[in-house]
Amino acid sequence: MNSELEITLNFSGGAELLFGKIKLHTVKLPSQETWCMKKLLVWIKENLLKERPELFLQGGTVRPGILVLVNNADWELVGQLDYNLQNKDEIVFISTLHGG
Amino acid sequence: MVVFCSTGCGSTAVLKRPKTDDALCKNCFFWAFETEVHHTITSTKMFQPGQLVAIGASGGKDSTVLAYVLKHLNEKYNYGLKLVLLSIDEGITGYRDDSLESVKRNQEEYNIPLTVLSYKDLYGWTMDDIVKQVGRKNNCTFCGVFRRQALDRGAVLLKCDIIATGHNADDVAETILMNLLRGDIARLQRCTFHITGSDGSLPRVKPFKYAYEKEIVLYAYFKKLDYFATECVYAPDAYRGHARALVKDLEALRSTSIIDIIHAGEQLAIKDGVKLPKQGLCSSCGYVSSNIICKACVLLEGLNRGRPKLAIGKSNKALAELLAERLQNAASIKTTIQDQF
Amino acid sequence: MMCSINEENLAEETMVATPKLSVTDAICRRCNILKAQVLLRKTDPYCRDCFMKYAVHKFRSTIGKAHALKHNEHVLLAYSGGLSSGSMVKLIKEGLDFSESKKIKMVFKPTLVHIDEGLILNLSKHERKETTDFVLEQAKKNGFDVYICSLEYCLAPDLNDLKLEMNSYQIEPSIYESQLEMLFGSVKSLTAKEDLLIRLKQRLITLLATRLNHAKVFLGPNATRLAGQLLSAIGQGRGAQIAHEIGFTDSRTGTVFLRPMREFVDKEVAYLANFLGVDSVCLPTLSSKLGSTASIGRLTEDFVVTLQTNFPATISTLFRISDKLKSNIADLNPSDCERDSLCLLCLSAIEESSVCSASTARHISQTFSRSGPSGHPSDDLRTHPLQSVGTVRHQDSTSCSSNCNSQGKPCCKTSNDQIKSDWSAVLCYGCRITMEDVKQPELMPINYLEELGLRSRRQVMRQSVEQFLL
Repeated sequence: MNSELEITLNFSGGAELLFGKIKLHTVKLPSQETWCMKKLLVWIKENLLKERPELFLQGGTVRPGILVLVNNADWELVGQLDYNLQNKDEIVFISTLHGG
Repeated sequence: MVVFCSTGCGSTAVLKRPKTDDALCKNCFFWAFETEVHHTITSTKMFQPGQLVAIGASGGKDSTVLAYVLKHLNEKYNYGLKLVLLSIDEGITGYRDDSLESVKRNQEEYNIPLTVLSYKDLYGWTMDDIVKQVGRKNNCTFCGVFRRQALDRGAVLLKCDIIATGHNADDVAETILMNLLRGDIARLQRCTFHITGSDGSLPRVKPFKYAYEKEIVLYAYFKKLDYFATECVYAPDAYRGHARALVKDLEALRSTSIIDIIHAGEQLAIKDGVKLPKQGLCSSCGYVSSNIICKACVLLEGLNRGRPKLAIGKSNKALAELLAERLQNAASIKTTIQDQF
Repeated sequence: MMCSINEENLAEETMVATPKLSVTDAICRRCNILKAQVLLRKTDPYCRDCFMKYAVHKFRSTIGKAHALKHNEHVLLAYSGGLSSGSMVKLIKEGLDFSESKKIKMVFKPTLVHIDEGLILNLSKHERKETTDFVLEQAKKNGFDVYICSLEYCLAPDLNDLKLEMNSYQIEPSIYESQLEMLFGSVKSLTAKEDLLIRLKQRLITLLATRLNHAKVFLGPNATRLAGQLLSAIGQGRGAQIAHEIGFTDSRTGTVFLRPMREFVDKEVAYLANFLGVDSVCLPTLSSKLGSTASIGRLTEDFVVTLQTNFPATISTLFRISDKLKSNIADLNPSDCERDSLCLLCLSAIEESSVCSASTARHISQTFSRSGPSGHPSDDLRTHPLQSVGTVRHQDSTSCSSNCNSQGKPCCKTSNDQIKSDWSAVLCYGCRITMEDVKQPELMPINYLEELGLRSRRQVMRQSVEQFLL
């Protein structure tokens, strides 16, 4: 079976500036393997990130100050980097680092 | 893995609160966030009934959420406050266009009147003009000094009684670290006060001083509040960035750190006999200043004379020069007058 | 805020970046004759002699200024075997010897003391012995007596239980060994582990000093360490303790701790050690081999060191702040009642929290997050819309709200929660955070547990007297 894992990525609060100002990305990942958040972050860095990776990733995780929501819930509630992605998941990255 | 709200309401949690590590559902979070701000407001007696409150509005997340929450609490608890939005346009091409749109939408959505004042109106200079004069290295000093006064002058023009700003717990923690790094003991003590600047200028309050940035952002997100996020095009660097990075790293290590830093800041007591600069009023504009002439007047004088760098370095030296020149001018005018008669 | 300029905070830029200038083949800026061997603050070249004169003067004046020592007083020197305390020992040794100028001879009687922390650092017996042998050898070389004590004795209830032998040391199993291992094993975060280590080490040194009849102890941390520790203390809510923890003098335990190396940054210590021929052992710490985000202490130290390379005034600005801050403890011999207001662990005053403060805000967040809207009818908050007065009492955050304990019935919360709330009532804010991460507080020194019981009984008594008077 050649099914794919379809997830949406949403960058906001200024995080979208690192992704060519595009907020919403629908991406398809090969689903013969399991995708944890850790792996997804690497994938994002290699496939979506347009500039300055250090402003998004730091020490294997997102830079402190960037909030992550998985299906509209704080990723700290679902295991952070160890969370295994499910089909149709919606991941939101909100930067708190840009002025308010 | 489903985590339930720690209040026991039975709903699914949507966030982990950084201040306490508790997991809350959307509705309990809204309630807790608002009620905590209410507590900050009431326990410090921040406002008096009937006051006209200027909300410093930038269109960003903090001031947008502040406007929304203040309006909500004012109605819910009958504060009896009149609210107005006050925006400052620094005159940076492209920078305010979008955020001012965002403030204008706030005005319509929350039905709070809005006034926009520009640096050009208040000082005769836009930030773009200033950058042309001083370059990008020191322009943030001008911008910040002018902005603080602009908000005050604007609020006075609008006959407001008090100014509320969106400074949050992260900002306060950052400021404490900043003042430590600078060794600025007087500001270190002042920066944790509930109300500042009530002497000579309008009082300023920070209803969000104990609210985490993370919660403000999530509040805006879950309430679908419309705000604008951008970095200033003259991206400020210097070492404030270091303090900010430290706060974020500390928070990542232990999420209560931010409130812990504020607690530490509130507990700092200055030894008897340590000399602190006295806060007086600027002899030129009447604004609060620890010098005879305030920083804004010094900067402005430098700009108007075409010698902007004069004011950036050691301000005492610049001040002395300025005052000396003024005295000299006054003296020469006097002689001219005497010569004529 | 729209940009990261904080309006309230625009001071003159006191942190000056390093000016760039050539220092190759520079001449000493003091004597203007000799070729410089030392470069301080990136811009100040010194020759070896002038640097040593400057350093020795600084060391002596740090001690002299404070008038901390009496003539011929006995002083313990806490010697870890590292460069900083090693240089301290050597500077004192040279000061005691008759040096070139008579008037600057130091007059006091030092004895070395070393704590063997190997147990909690998971060092092998062999590695531990290497370090302690080194310490013994260095003491002998300098002609000082030395006492070595293993860290687990911090759990000893009485100073007579300490195993001590002058100028010799054997690693022997003790009854406290497994207790200490289990205690540290039960600590959730490295930050809390490091803080607990500070508290327990201070307790042990105080026990040692009392046993050896010494009123004063010299500690070896230098300016770089202290600057990092200051930020670390702030990051852990210890604002009120800065004067003690970073300043020259710390007299909280009754034994007076002094920090004569506090004016030297890492680089100066390295030069000093080099010129004085100080030998050192490489000492592991709890965060060795871990990244800079391993703990708050590690993070702040790395932060300070990094910032110092670009802003050479960072360290001195930071640690000097401690000189301008007040201690929040009045005197050395508090009464029973006053002692109840001191933190059991670090002996600082337990902070009082006003109705609007960070600690109250934290407490309220906890209450609200656990009770929810239904537990707080909004009418209560509406009674006085803009004026709520009075102070809040919330020594503990985990005790039950119904106050059932005072009615003579067992509390509705589990006993574990009860222990936690007992602890939080006797700790300052900073130690409370640390103890929240200690999962088996019953492994703490027995004296603490006894005192804990005493205090909570006194508290209950006080409450019942208050009720009676009402």
